Amino acid sequence: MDNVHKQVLEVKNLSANFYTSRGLIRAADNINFNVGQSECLAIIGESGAGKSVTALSLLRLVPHPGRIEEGEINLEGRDLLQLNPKEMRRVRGEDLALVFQDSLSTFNPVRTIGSHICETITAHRKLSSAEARDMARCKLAEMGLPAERSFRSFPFQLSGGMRQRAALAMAMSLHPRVLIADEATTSLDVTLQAQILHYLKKHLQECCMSLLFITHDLAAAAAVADRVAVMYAGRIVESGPVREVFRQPLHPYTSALLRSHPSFCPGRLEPINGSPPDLADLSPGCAFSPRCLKGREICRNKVPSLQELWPEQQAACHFHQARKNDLREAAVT
Amino acid sequence: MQVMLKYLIRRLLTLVPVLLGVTFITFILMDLAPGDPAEILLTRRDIEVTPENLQLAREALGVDGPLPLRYANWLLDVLQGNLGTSFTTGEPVSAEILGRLPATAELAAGGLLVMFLLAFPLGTVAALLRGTVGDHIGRLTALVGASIPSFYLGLLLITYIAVPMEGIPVMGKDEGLISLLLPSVTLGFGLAATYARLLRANLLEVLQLDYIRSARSRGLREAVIIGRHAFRNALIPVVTLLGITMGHLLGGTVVVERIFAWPGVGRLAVEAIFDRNYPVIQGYVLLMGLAFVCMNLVIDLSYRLLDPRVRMEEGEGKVS
Repeated sequence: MDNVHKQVLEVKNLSANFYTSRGLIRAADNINFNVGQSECLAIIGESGAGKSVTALSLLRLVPHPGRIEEGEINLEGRDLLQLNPKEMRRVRGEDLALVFQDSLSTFNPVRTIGSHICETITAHRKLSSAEARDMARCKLAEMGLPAERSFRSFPFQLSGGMRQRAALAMAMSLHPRVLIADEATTSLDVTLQAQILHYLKKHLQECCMSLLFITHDLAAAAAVADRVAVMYAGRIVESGPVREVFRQPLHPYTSALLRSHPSFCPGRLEPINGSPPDLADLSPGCAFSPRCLKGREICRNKVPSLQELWPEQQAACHFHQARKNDLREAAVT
Repeated sequence: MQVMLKYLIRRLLTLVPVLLGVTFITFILMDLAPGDPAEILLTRRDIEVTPENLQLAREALGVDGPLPLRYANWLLDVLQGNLGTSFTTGEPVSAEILGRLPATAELAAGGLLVMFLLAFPLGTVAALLRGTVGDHIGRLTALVGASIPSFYLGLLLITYIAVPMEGIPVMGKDEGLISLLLPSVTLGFGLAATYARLLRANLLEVLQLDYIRSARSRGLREAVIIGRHAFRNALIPVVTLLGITMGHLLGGTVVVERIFAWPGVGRLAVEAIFDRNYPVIQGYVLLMGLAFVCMNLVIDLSYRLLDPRVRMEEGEGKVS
């Protein structure tokens, strides 16, 4: 795979806040990432880390009472946050498509699978309904579904796996530049998950599509992603090439996450101490500091910024940043 | 189709116990209620009320036997298509009711039309403008509409619309469609308030659902999302209420019929109750029971049109 990807999606300083009765919740706080052409970036983290809010922010669909506060979302050079609603509507589904975790709630229960796919196609393309229907059947068949039958089925008539593939067929129907898969394979069995991941990887190359793969499943992320970004409490705490991050995690949260997963820790699993923080009541310092074994005074008072510690690998951790500075000073003297 | 036919037959069979139940209960209630039809009849015809005359009148009206016997007799007559004759006019009850039914049906249709025209746009707009001034005005109007008694609204309409604008009839239905105007508005306005509120609440609920978010993420136009995805699903609870409303409307709307001197079944029933006109009351109750059960059946059938999940329950299985 070529190392230099043409950047398709660039997210800069994106912040989305929720104004709740319990106070301000920074669900996505100063998010920065890039996704190149034919590249897959996995965003991993626990539930409530802000992964889904980030995904919805990209489409400008953050639900009430949330709001995108600032930032830039550049899709092939266009800042999505500057588009008017009509232009934004054209981007959704056409350039940026989203697949959700729960395919049962992706589809309107009283309409057929086929009508969903057709309306998506005709919302963006000037096609006759017969042409749209052919296209939809073609896409369903591509996902290994019985085209005619699944086209005419209502969502509740399909199994979970079939429905998820139909949802994927719908998202792929317009050949989006970027596909955002928000826990799209999480509810599937392992075999089906492997099939879908394989299909996605194949598509990235063939269709020059980019994939933003949002998951809490580390194994799936390792299988499909080129690079990963680890989110914790609304912030990206570590990012880098998937092999480097999984082999040599810099952020204590990433290493703790890997040590708690059977695929990455052959020995005895270690659960992460404590529980995920309450986003409405974050400490002024590093959000992971209360659970961190390396926690120091500075961690509790100052939010660490994301810094490049290894080539292409960034982490937001005072401990590692201090160690790197020590090493640099040692090298100078 | 087979499934559908079986379903229909099963539903129609449930009519039998329902109708037996309501007519028998009315029979008992009328027997318990004070007032003697024989006495009322004698007084009305200026005949002296003596024990002998009363006895004769009771025998003539057929209200002298024990209650179970009278009910059995009535039931036998009904099964032969004979609902009895009215105590006051001597006309067959079926003819009296059927003569009034078209007027009631017209009023019901008019009221429903006004309701649809008001409630659907209002409810939809209020849901879409949620939390804005428009929403508050709409909700306030709906609250007023739901609270205002129909007799008062009827009088307001007569005073401020019919009287200044001559030519709008306020009594009876002799002047064609235009005479339907004020009674329909009176009836429809009160209904519209309830329906607009229900539709607004349902639409808001549906608009929160994940598949609406999914529809937005696919770049559909807002009009398509609301018209195609939200509206149909929000309509399901509205249809339920519609069944009950239609049952009520077919039973006649006593107050509105009374204000506008509308010759419908509601007025017939009230007059019959004042006169202790048992056969007419029984006939009316039978009609009401029939109307409610049939309307519920129509509603259940329309669920099948709106929601494929209901349609498929007994029909085809899952695709696998």
